[in-house]
Amino acid sequence: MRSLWTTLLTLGVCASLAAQTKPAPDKAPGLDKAKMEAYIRQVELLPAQMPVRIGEPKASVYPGFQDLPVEVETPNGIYAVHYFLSADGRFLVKGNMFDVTKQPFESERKMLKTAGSPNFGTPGAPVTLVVFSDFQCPNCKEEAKIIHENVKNAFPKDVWVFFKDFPMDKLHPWAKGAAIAGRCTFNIQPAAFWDYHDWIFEHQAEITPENLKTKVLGWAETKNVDAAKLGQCIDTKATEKDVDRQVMEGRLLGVSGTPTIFINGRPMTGALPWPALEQIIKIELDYAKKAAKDEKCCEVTIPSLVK
Amino acid sequence: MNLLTRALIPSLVAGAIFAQTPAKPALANPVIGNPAIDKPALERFIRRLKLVTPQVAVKIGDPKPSTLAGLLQVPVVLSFNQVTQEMVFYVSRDGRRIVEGNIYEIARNPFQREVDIIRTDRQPSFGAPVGAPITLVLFSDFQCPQCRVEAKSLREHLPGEFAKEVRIVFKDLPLEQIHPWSRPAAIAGRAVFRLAGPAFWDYHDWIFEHQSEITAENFQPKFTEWAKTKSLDLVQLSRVIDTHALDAEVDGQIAEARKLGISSTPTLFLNGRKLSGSVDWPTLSSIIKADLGFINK
Repeated sequence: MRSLWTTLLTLGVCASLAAQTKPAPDKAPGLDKAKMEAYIRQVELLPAQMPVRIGEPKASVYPGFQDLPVEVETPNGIYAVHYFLSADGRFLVKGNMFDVTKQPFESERKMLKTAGSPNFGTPGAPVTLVVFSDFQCPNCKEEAKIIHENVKNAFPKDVWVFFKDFPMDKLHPWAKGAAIAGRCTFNIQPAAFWDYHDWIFEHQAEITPENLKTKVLGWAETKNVDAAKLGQCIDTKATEKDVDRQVMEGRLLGVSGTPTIFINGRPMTGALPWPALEQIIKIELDYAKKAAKDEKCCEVTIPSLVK
Repeated sequence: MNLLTRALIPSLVAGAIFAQTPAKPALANPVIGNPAIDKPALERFIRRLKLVTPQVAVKIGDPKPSTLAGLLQVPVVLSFNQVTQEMVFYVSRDGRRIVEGNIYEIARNPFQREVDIIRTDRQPSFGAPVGAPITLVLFSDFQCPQCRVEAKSLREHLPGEFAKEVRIVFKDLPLEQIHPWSRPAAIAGRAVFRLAGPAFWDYHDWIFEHQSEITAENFQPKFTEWAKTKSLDLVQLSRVIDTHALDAEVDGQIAEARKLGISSTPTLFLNGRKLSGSVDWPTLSSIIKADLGFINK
């Protein structure tokens, strides 16, 4: 496993500057936090200048293990890392625990709210892609192109794609404005959203915080989107709350950079080339088929002449 | 690098999977009753979880007891085109829950398992003597271009910057499937080491330097030519090589690598900590310094 430290060095993503600082109580009964911090610093190779906060161990859904939340403050923002601590305090698990009888990324799937998000593809398809994106992020532009060019052709029936906003406004000054305008467009004329999406990525290099509104309204006129309504929505920031809600949802899911794509709940961060994305979709489809067969294996029915 | 880009090349799937670290060898803690592990279901789950493509065979072994919170240890072997990799998953007795990731016993060195697996005695080494605070184990393949880069960087920088702190140990991991002369080169290197100890490093530097000119066909004459310039006893050398004892030695290294969950070169182990791929000197140097800091605490 790559250490967190090397991951932070090499990830080709727009790192989040968003910080959520929560003061943690000093001591948990039975847990020597200083010792734990030193151990985790060694495991992850965290230099002394990066503050590490050991949170309170909480009961986990896995018998015999507690959840140990840890926050690492890096120059790029705060990273939340989860460990499991065995009940006897002897073992630290870095990784995940899964319930084999459930989908591997069940908890992520439950947390992802897709209702009311811009989408394309096949409703109810076996594979869903939920893309957390930032209109000002170059990797997001690349990924959007990859998804748009390939998904419909390669998987005309099997994939449903959702768009979620995750503007990193500390890094990208017009990202949030563009997200707000995108949501406004979606509310006013849902079908025009994907036009807006493609247009804004295409013109990413020309947009500035100053010219954003003018350019967006210029685009709206060519597409017969009600520019007066859109202008008002942008001015009143009517959709800011929606955008903030998506960002919060992303944070809770551990999104710290864009693009992050959840493929049936499996998080993948950074621009994902099409061959990789295609392969994952195939694996998900294959699994869905086999799981469906399994469910029928043990069915007991009484033969009947008429169905 | 994205873990996944590697996962999609089936022969390298192994490299993309987290090294599993059993906390401790299983103790005499008998399994009570029959653990209800449904192997096909577990296989399906692992395939999906780790994105294992269908070309790769997955074999789920029999569960054994472990000391970790009453979980069972299940060995899993992935194989593709004669490349195999072993992993360990921890599974609850009812087969419902699995733990995937690295497991550390807090009272021990986090990388003790790796340290215990890697044999460093009677292996070519240079730098600081046995007992140095840091042992850097290098799994390498003489025909691998990145290994050449890594070797050059280590030979250049280590003696000057960490002469007293770091001992380098060389291990063979010839990837024969893709590098046809890597095994004969590994065996010849071991023969040189047996007969002439430190001359191994001359051989090591020479072979990496001439990597692009060597082929499976001309390896033998080129090696003989080099051995002559070093006044090595050619009769003795070919006798050692012909006994095939060194084949077993190389196989032993490959088996060790498999246990460590590695299938690509170069792979470094710095006091047991795995560093995959070519690590540039500034990065390696900063990791060495950080680890020296942990040791001195």
